[in-house]
Amino acid sequence: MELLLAVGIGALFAVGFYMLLRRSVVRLLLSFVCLSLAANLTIFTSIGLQRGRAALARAGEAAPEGPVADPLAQALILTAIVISFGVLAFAMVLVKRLYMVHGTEDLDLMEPHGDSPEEGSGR
Amino acid sequence: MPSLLELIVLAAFGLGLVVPAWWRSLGKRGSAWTAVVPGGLFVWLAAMGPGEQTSFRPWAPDLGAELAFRLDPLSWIFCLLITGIGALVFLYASGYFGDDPATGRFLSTLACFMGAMLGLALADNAILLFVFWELTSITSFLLIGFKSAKEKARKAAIQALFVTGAGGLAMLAGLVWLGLESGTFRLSEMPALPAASAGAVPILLLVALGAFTKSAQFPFHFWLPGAMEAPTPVSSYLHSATMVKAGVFLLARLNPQLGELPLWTPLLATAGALTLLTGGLLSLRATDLKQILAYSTVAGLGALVLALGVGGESGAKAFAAFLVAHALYKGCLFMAAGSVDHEAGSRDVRELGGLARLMPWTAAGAGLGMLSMAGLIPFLGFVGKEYLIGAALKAPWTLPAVIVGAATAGWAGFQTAIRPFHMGSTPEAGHEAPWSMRVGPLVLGGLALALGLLLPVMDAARLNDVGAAVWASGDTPQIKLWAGINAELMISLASLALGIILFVTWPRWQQAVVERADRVKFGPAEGCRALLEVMPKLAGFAAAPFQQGRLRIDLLVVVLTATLLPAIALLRHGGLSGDLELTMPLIHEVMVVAAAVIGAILSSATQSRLAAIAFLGVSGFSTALLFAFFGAPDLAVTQLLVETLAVVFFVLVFSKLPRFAALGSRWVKLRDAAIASAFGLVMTALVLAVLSADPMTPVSAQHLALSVPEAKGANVVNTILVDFRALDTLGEITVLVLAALGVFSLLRMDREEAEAAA
Repeated sequence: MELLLAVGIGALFAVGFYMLLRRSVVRLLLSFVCLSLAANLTIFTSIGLQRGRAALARAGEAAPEGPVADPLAQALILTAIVISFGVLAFAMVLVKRLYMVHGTEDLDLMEPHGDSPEEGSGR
Repeated sequence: MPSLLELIVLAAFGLGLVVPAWWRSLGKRGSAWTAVVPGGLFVWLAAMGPGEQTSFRPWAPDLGAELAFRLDPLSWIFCLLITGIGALVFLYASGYFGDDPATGRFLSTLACFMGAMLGLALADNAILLFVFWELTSITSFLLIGFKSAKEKARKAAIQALFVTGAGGLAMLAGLVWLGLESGTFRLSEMPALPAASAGAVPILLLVALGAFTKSAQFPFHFWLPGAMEAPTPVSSYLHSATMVKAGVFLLARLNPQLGELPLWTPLLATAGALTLLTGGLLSLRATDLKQILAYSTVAGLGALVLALGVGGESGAKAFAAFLVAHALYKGCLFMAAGSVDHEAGSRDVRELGGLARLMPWTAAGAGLGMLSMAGLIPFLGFVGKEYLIGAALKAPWTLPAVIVGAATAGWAGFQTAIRPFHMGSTPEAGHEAPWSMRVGPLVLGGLALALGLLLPVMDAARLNDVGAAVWASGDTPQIKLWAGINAELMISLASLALGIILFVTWPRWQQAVVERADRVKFGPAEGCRALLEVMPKLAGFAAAPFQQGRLRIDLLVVVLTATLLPAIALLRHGGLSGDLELTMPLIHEVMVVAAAVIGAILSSATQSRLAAIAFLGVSGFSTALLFAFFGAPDLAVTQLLVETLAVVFFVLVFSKLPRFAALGSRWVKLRDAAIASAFGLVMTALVLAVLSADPMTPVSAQHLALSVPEAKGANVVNTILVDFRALDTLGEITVLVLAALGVFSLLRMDREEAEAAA
């Protein structure tokens, strides 16, 4: 299973970076999602996998019994998921704005100082 | 409860904190009253006397840093100069700035500088001393560049910060080394550094570098005349009386530790003599009142370093007497020059004249300062000059420099206090400076006279104790006003005569000197400027291959680096040779991982925007399932929610955009695919390498054990988030709030534009 997940993570990273290198800004956003998934899975896998054993204490127990999935890694990933969602939401609106100001989603056609007619109002 | 010494420092910083509000509510009248704080501190310190007091508070004991303060005669006299001249400068600034709205900010920075300087003088810990040292550099930077709209002021501020900051770093290295070598960072407990110790020479050089840059010693003297861009209250306070003396103070403070090293005398005496010579000779070319005084301040600082370098009884006497004398007359003359500038509108000595009739009080104050600067009996300046020549006689090769310095100092005094006031014709317009600007020169000039006159009766400034603190031999030197007719007196009179000759003949040679000096286009200042210009170019040159201004090329560099470096590291450490315990995947797990990968691949391949979003959604939901399979229900739920929201957002925001254009050639796509695949491969290898590494006790063992009893929660992931690492979660929430604010404002911008267009 670890081998399978490691290969899967590698594939997600590869696809993510491939999309990152495209000229379309929207692809850039998608690559961000893909890379977040890959990164979270990397942490999740590297800490060691435990099938079906969540870090939950049953009623009356002082601590979860037996080997359980590492809760600290999960807490970190949880934070990461939420933050990357926040960043994604902001990036989406930003990219939309970029598109409206420049009239294109092609990064190569966006001039550093903008020469599109909407430039003046885009400030 | 803070100790007395801590209170002194805190009071100054506290003043800085309240001054802006103080000034806003009271206006011009309020700014004059700010002088009460430094004035009160001055009276308090003066009443307390230079008796030893210490205060200690732990700070970061592992690093040797402690809030240790100590009052001894040396720090006492510095504190008196800082608070006394400080009070006069605050008063002066209130008249100088009048109703200027920037006054509050100015006085606040000035008060913070005063706090930093007091801390520097009182610090008994090397690290603490460094902290205050840097604070003075920073406040000085802010004050030099106070008129920030002027490019010249900004440049001068950066130059001063650059020079003193670089020196400060060297000094820090020297102080840390000295602390390690002596086993303590407490300055008063440091033993004399043995000349045989390995660090002796580098420590002295590093510390001296810090002191020389701060105190504008040759060849770092150039920043001080540049700093004259600052408003005049700053020039008279920071750049003549107090901050520039910090370097000299440091050397005096470390005299017991470093003074016996064989390199001490040659290094300091040479630097001091060269600085004296440089400052004195360069002052002759200046026609701006403040520039004349600035160069003569450089010379004065050189004289102090020279005195410390010569050391012994004569050096200690010269240091103590000249330190106070110089601070008094230079502060006085700077303020007078500022008043002239303020009221007559010019500082060019060639344009000014006859102001004594309009500004009798300022002229009188400047006159007193001048007489002390020229070294006339019974002024304190006479005493300082006398002992300085005495110290130079101990190292006779420095005598020419001292004579030049004394003669040019006299000339500079006459030039700034006689020519603008008593020579030439009186201008029609112009008036006396406001009373707040008259007090400073008169009091400082009067003190220069009084302290000298009183010397046979009483040592009011405790110069003998200061000398004893510097001398560090256990004996107390005797500083006298009149030491009889001796070689010193003869040399002193000769240099005075030379100064008078320079002054009288000035109209005849000034034009030739100024013109010739203006033609010189090289020197340490130009070197510094060139360095400041070259460094960004060098950085740009080094970065150019990697950052070409195209996002994707920059990214490629990053990806390639992130691929190659871990790959090399993996290969060098034997690859995946560790034990890898693998479990067999179950059939549904294989399907989910396959779905995640296929979803991502399809998403990158499709031309339809909507399809791309949907395919990536498949990857996201598959990941959520994986979390669910491996004991992470919280993650699974969160991922599901986030993924759903993300897909909805994507569709809402981007559904109206056209399909992806097919951009980029086949070759570029192949290249990118190859690089991305290589990176994916390295990441796979990294995950396996981590899994094959030796197991360690996870940090979470503690969380698992404590979750129920301490955090009262059965779900350990939740207790970690809201209890054990609650601050992280707070940070996370903050990020979300910021993102939401960003989204909101960007969307509103869109809507407003749409409404404006409609």
